[in-house]
Amino acid sequence: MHEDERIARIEQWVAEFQPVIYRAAYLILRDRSGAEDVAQETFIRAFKALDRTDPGHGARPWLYKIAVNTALNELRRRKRESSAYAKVGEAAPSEAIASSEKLPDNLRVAVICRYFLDLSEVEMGSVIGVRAGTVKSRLHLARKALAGDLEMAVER
Amino acid sequence: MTYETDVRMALAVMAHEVDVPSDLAGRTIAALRAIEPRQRPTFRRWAYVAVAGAAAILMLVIGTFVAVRRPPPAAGHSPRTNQYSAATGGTTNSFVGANSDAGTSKSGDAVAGQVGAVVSGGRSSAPAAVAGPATLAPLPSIVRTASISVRVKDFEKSWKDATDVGPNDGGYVTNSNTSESGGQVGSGTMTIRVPSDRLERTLRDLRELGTMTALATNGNDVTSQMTDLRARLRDAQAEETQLVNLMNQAGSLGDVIDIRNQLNDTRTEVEKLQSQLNSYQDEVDYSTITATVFEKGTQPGKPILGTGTLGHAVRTSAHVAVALVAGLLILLGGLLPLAALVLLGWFVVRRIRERRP
Repeated sequence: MHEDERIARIEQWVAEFQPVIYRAAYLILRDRSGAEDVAQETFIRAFKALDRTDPGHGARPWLYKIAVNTALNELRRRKRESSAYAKVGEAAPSEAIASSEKLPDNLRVAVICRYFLDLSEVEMGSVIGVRAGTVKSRLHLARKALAGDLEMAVER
Repeated sequence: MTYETDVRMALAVMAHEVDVPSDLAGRTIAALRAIEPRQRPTFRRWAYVAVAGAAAILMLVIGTFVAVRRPPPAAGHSPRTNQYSAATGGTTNSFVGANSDAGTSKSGDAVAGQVGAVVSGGRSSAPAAVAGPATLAPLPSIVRTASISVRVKDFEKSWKDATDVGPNDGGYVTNSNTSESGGQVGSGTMTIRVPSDRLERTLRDLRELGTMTALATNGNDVTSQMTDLRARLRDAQAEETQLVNLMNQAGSLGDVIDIRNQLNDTRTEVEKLQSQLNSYQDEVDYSTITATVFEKGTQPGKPILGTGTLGHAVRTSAHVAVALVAGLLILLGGLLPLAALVLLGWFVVRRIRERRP
């Protein structure tokens, strides 16, 4: 694919998907700065990957996969470097986010992928890198943990 | 309100509580444009796989071609022929393998030339018909052996003719054995000794029995060994003479007994050295040919295990086992190109799926 063609395609995707990716990254990282980095890094990686692969009409799950993996890598890196970082991070903007923060990372990412990014269980398996059965299991566990808190948060 | 709706609504609420920076898209595009144009790879992964597959197929084709063209093994590598070269030093080898189906006479002439070259470099007793470099003097003593495989149409007739080849050329057959195939004697191996200067002629006679499938000649230079043996023999004989003289001059019975004992040892040594020298000389004078004659479709060189029920059972089992292994190898060889194609197909499908949503 030609350089200009790649840039044009990325520009189109940035306009279409970057806001969603930014917010999903924020939900995962709970940090605006980190979310910005992920939202940019996702498209830079996609731009480089376009040289050797073409997602065609499957750009949405493909970009989400890159975004989620980038966010998870960032999350892991932060945990490795300092556990104190999360404690001094931004305050949750709402109680809803505060309640979702109770979930372990893997369950939280599953919830975000399924109900925010609106990925199917099969797509989620590809994005997170687990089998569909594991996806179902994680969603079930998250449901059990979140059911009460979310109802309260939505009602408020 | 269902759980899923609750979750979606809650996440939507969360998402809209954080504003997307207005300049994020612009900064992203600027960052993309700042990336150095990447050098497009000239050779991609699929190309590597394609080249590897093509190379595998090519190697398989070549390997199959070589395997098909390879003649059956000559019987000349048996231990019997090796015994002549076991005690030798310098070794010269020549090998000629020829396929039978195409250009037999042509390859046969080439073989004759090779043999002639070996022979001409050998014995000083070689006749004038065998051209040799007259300036090479003294000529080395060379023990020559050869093995030849000949495929014939009628084994029984050709086998009888083969047994006559050696004696007709002034030689003799030292041993022979035959083996069965499918209840009939289909192949046999014999060891022929012929005067060294008749080696070429004998090989030619054997070749004319049918279609030659393999020929190997071997020349072991034993000049130094024979020279050493002769020197040691001369010394031992001189010592023997001296001891005889001493014994004649001995004054006491004790001296006579001592000298006699020593003389016995020396004579034993002389006989041993003489025997070795004679053995070498015999090997130099007479070349050894291991000739394998077999009918088409038989495996040459398989000795008869026995004629009873047990022997037959063992033979049958061995044949079945060999056929089974050969069949498996052929099957594997046949499947290899298919496997390469499947691998290529799988890779292409995978790439297509990667590109599709």
